Amino acid sequence: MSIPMRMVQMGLLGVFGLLALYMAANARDTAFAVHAWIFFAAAVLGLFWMARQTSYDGVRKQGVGDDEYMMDVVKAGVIAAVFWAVVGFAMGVYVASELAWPFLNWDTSNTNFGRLRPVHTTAVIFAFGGNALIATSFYVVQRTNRTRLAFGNLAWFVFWGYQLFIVLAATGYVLGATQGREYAEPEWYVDIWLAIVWVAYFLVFFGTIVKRKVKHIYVANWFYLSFIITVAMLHIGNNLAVPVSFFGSKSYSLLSGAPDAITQWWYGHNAVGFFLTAAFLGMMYYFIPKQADRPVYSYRLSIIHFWALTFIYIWAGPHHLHYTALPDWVQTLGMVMSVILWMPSWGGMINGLMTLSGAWDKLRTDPILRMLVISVAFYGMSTFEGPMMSIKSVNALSHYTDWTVGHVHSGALGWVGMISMGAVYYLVPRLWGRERLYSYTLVSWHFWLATLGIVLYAASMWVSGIMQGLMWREYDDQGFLVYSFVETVEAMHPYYVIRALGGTFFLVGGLLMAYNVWQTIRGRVRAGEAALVEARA
Amino acid sequence: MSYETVASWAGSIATVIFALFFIGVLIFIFRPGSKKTYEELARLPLQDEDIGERKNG
Repeated sequence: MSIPMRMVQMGLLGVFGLLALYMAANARDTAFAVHAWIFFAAAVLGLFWMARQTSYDGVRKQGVGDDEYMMDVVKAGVIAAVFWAVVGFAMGVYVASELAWPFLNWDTSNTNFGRLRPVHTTAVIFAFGGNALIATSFYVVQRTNRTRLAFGNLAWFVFWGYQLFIVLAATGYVLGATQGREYAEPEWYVDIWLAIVWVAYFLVFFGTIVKRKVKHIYVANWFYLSFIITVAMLHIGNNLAVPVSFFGSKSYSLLSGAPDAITQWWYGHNAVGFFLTAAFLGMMYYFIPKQADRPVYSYRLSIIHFWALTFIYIWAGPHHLHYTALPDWVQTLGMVMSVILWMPSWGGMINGLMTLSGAWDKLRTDPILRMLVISVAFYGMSTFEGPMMSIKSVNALSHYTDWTVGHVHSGALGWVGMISMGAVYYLVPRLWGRERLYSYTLVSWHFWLATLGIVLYAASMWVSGIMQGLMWREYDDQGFLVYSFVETVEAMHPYYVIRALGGTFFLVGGLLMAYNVWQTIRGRVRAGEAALVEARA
Repeated sequence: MSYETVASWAGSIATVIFALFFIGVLIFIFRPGSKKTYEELARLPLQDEDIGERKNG
């Protein structure tokens, strides 16, 4: 980094800080004021960091060669993913407990379920999942293209800019700043910030592919790239809004009525399709072959998988709006495309599972591989359940019930969570140059706690959701509804308690992971385990 | 031409284009001699230990 270049960067950051101060001074509401101060604090911290870096420029050896991978940012991403995992799981257990024991809402607007739920969803999807994706995509793109990340420290901007987005989003929800759009709650200025960070992410990732040292772009990179591009498109399309004031958090969507609703679910379902599916399939196509030490079952199938999945997923969103004001043909289109989607999904699942052919015995001894494989099994399960639920007549029963919540969690905890945690266990010893993890026994404990937690969660939500749906549609012989709404809520109480228990299991597993990762980074090996490994070998 | 006419034609044409694209992908990946290529490509992530291997694992 040359000194003039660094000065330009610091100048830009300084202007940004002054702008934040100006925003804080003119703020129309509390959320906006708090966010302006957070922007300001971020700018000041950034300036200090840059100034310190610059002063060492002459001393430290500069210009790291292109033949060395940039792994520090991957390390940071892994630590952030583990940290946000624990935060997100804990928030999940808390909001689940709020539903089971409503006194936990504490009768304040800041801590009620409506405000804390998006904190949970954002923490698990975007903070845990997003950091896991940033870390693994930066790792995979370097290693499979045999080249260092492009654009130097821009990767660090992506990492810290993304953490800033998470903090802004979460504080905004608690203070009541929300667009009310599912999985896209942050207000307009936070959206603009994320768009800037995301473009930088694209530049780093794509730039690295462009300067690759191998001829072919490995399939995992295709999935990651489709995720980055599509999320950019979805994020901008879904967040077209007009702010009421440049100094206030409130904005109104550019669209209204049915077009607004379908834009929301075009975004919402493709966030599932490209953020929670395509990107994590990129993980699957790298980490399962690596951990099993076997090539992917069929590279041809992976290409068909990629094109079929990306072409079909984009049409599935309308199944979230069955029996609404949305035109009937759009609903039918969404349903048909969702059912077709079953094929590429299961093609991908088969490809992931069959990668183990000839290596199935490793499942007995390798808890990390077990975790990666069960994630693919959960992927298969939830991609069967999803198309089924998108069929209109099934949806008539399942929609607006806990069944949907159970479905989302078998996908999110089972597929996204398990594959990310498997990738974390794979990465930590390698990134920090340790011979092995602190403890494989703890990985096994994590595996069983998480699996049991998901089973408790999904099973209780199936029972509760189907019961809820049946109670809502129960008529007596006079044509009156048999149950009032509150009676259905009362009937669901035991299942809410079971769900909170399942979530607690999952959280404890997450805590074990954090401890295991921490000890591995410190270079420790759990007493007694080294001998065990040697005895096996 | 009315909106409805354009919309219905656009839908049909897009379906045909998508189907042709998909068939094209199939033809491409099953082209003669590609089996060996793809078997090699599948090993790409497994071979990265000995190329550009540096610290930071």
